[in-house]
Amino acid sequence: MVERASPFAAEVAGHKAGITVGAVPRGSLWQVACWPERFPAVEKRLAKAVGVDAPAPGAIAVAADGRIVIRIEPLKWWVIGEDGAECPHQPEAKDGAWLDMSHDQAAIEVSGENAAELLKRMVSVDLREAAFPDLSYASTTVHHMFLKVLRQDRDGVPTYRLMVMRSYADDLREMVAHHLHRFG
Amino acid sequence: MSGYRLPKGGHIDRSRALSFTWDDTRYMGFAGDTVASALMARGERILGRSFKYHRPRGIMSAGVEESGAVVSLGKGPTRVTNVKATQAELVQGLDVWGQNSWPSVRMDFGSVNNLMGRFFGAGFYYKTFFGITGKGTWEWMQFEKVIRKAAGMGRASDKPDPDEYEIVHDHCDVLVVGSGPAGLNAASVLASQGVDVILAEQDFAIGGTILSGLSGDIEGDAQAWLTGKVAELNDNGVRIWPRTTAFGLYDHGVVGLIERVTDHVERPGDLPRERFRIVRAQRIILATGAVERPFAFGDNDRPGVMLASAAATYVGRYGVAPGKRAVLGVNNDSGYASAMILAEAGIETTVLDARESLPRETSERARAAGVEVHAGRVPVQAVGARSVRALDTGRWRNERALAEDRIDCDVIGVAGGWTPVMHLISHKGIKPVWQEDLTAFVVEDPGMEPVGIAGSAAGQFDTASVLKAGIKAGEEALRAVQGKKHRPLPGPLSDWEAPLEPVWEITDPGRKLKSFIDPQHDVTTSDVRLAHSEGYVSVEHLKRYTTLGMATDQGKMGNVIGLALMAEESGSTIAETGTTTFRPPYTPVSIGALAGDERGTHWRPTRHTPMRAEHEKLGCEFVDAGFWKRSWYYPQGSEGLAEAAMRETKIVRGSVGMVDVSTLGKIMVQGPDAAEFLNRVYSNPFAKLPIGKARYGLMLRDDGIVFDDGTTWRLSETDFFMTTTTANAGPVMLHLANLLQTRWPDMKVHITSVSDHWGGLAVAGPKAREVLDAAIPDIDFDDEAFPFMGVRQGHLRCGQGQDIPVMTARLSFSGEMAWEVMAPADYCPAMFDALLTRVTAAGGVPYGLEAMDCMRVEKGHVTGRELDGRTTADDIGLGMMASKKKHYVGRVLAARPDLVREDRPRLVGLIPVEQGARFKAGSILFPPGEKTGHGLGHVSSIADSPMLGSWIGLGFVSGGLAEWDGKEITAENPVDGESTAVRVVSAHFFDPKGERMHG
Repeated sequence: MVERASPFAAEVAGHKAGITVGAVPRGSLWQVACWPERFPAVEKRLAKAVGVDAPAPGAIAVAADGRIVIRIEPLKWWVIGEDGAECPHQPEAKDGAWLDMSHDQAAIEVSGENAAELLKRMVSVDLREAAFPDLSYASTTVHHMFLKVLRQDRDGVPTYRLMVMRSYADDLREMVAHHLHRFG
Repeated sequence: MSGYRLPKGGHIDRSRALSFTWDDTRYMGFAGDTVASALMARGERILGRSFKYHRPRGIMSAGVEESGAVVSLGKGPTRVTNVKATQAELVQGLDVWGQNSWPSVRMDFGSVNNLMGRFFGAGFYYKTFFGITGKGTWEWMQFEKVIRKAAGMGRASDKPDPDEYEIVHDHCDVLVVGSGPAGLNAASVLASQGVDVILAEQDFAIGGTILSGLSGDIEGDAQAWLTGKVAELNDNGVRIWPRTTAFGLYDHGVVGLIERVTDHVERPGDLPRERFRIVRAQRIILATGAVERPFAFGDNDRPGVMLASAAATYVGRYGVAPGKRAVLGVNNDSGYASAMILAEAGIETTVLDARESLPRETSERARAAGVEVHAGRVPVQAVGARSVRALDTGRWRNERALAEDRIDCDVIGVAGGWTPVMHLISHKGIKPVWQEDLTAFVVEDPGMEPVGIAGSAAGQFDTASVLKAGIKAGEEALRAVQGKKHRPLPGPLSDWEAPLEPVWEITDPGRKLKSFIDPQHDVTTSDVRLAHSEGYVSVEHLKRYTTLGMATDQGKMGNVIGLALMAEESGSTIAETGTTTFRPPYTPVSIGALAGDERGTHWRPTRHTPMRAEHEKLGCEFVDAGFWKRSWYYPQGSEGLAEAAMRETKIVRGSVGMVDVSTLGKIMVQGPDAAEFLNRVYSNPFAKLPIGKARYGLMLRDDGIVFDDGTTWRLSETDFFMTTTTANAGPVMLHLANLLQTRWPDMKVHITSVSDHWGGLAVAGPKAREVLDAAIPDIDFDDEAFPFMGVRQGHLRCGQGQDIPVMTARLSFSGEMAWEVMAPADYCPAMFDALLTRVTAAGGVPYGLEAMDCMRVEKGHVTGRELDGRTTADDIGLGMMASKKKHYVGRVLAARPDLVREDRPRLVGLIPVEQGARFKAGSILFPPGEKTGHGLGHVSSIADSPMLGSWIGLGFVSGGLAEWDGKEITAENPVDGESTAVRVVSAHFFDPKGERMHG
């Protein structure tokens, strides 16, 4: 199989004043959708297939194997996993639909004690600990781009994943780098 | 006499001397000084010139309300104009310049205007220059150019702003605006209960009136109280932001603030100059204080005339005496505090109190401090041309002054009452109410806004009341953020000993006085009367006719006086007269700060296709298409756009080419009702589209106008892959979502944008089949196996064992035999390389947007230039596609009489009559012999066609081909005046039967 190309034209890396920036490796992204009356059934099957409790809106669920489930819309979930992972649940047409979107998004990770300070330069999301704790999710915009923010701390260090449509990857990279240079 | 530095006192750091220049003269000040205090300490009196009369102006205040000391800072492109010297923090190496003068503010030739001041009343320009020659507006516009050139305050640089700015979003439970006693107490109450508080202060120092000494004693030692409070707030995690002005209050607790980040920093490094903070707060406390106001008397704009509290502030905060001999005209108790501060600094001080009945205790304390106090006396006229040297006084009787003696002095302070700073709450449309006992507009009820108002901003003018009000506001906000119903605001309080006596203007029957109420814009009391006498009786009209309150201080000093005089003229009360509306920003905001980082190449986002690097390797030139960078052409050698596009077009028509079509919108439509959904969305039938087939679809808006076009591929019984034009990818997605959510919510359909998951290349030309046959071995590209509009899925071979999954459909935009090949985006670089190798081997080339556009014009295919929001399906020649048997969006209104008129402009081809002639897109088409009016239609697209060897175009002509086929008309370009004779022909210039793409 051909190796997947990075969506970024240059390396995504940086470390300043308690903030570390890096690209998220390419992986799989499956969308699972359902019809309104089939929501409980599809949600249950999907959660069971991944091995998590179904995430509430505004939250993410992380499975033991690292897969992340987000309720991206009222009737849609995203399952983010390693490259090549199969769709964990493929609803029949009477229940919903599923879709491979593994190449649709580009992601940058911003971590560190001051990571939220950098993100405040980009998004209007309330990132205070009480409002956006570990395993939170928000869909927002930055500079006319749709942006998804996932918080998944590592060893207690605040860690945020920023996801944009792939074609905006370099705009996001430049934006993060630009804000990072202001931190010392 | 003039100002000087006192040997001790003030909140300045005398160990840190700072060097700066004033109009190229080097001076020294101290850390903690403002530009105004440093210049005052150096004895400078004239720091500005007025807008109209160019009268000399000095320091009038110690804050944002300044109208006299308005200066420019910096050099070259970083020069900032209209800065209030009273706010500008002194920093090492600062360059300060006088403005609105020539050659300098001290010696300004523009002051000749003052000699003709009697003619320059309100409305002078309009009245004078509108009717001299009887040519009305035209005539005014000629004069206006000259008048505008003479006007203005300061001269900004015309160079790009080299400074950086940033926008930051913040959240908190409570935002406290203002760090005076009320704000500090409110923040203290909240922070002690664990509430997340931001305390914003526009000054570079925290403390408000405590810094000037005007707050008097607080718990025995105001300075110690302040230090303790700040430490406590820091300990409790309050974010304290000095140098941060809240300039606007918006919906849902959103406040706009500007933080001055590096203006005071010698080596700012990578930090931005200013930071635009957008704060979202659950609750807001406005402890914004009050601005002292003057009253009008003769020549009250002379350098040396200032607010009484300002004179005290220079002594108390900056350790600078404004002069040796001060006379304060007061009408309320607060002026005595200022007088005592001056007297204690050794300044000989006299108080003229307009009230006959003095505040006994207060006046006694003042006398004990060495202040000379006179009851029932007022200032009548300042004496001195370039600065104050004496004051003519008068006895105040029945609101008139009876001339008395002249007092030698070099400072005149005025304490005419206080105006609460309620601009922010006014931004939300809350109307202040006139309170007669306070002689001030006060907001009594903030309505539904999550706002509390405390201290002087709420009309509480003594320190004890202010401190209590801060605590109350904090407690009220605490209940609100904890979910309990909040109590109404406390009413205004005051423990002044004697009531304020309203004084707006001192008039002396024995002399004619020039008394200013808006010194910066040279608005006088006479202007207000003139405006009223000419019928401008509304405060809004008064404002616009006289420009009262329209200078950079936005009327902070003089507005209330103007309103009071207007009320007097009209025989009504101030409450009935009302006030004008305050709008953001409270103080001027740099445009750069509002733009933040969204400038230069980042003024808008940039989108790249997954094959960007591959295009760049080939030397591709890109063109902006919305946010996208699209491959435009691939020059070889010294080729320009035209040559490269011509070559690429010829090669595609002759052999094969490939073009990046990744920018097309791509939407997955999934579900059991997907086919029916598409059938309703498109004007042509889709219900029975077979699996493995694609169909061109025309989508209408509700009003029957063409919205978008594209192909939709049926991948399975329930899965469809829709493509849209590049420009309409977003709008079509929104349109479909809207239909599903509001019109047909019961349909089992999910739509998902996959525009970025898939990238695509179109391979076109007579050798396209040869290329793809070799590249995608598991798909049979023969006509029979893969007919026109067929869809197949397979694997593109990129090398041994290096296959990538692809979807392909046999479609053609170029008119050639062609396929669109879609691959998951990360594999697109590999797809590009693999296909390029085979295309090149077949004698082909990659081609760009320009060649693609040329080929589609040759074929008469439409794009956004034709689908411009005005055309119907019939207009573009596709009316026959629309179904007569089904309902679809736009069908009903497409049958409106005006949309089915036979004489509507219809799509035609255009070709120059004269070989080699050219015409431009946008040209208006006229019948021969005409060249004015709306004409027959317009030219929408043009191309230099290699296949026809001629310039060609698409356009719209009234009646279309039926009426004009073969006839000659004229393309007139109204921009450059070019005129070209063109012949109307079919829009299908090349291969009209489509044999090449079907072959």
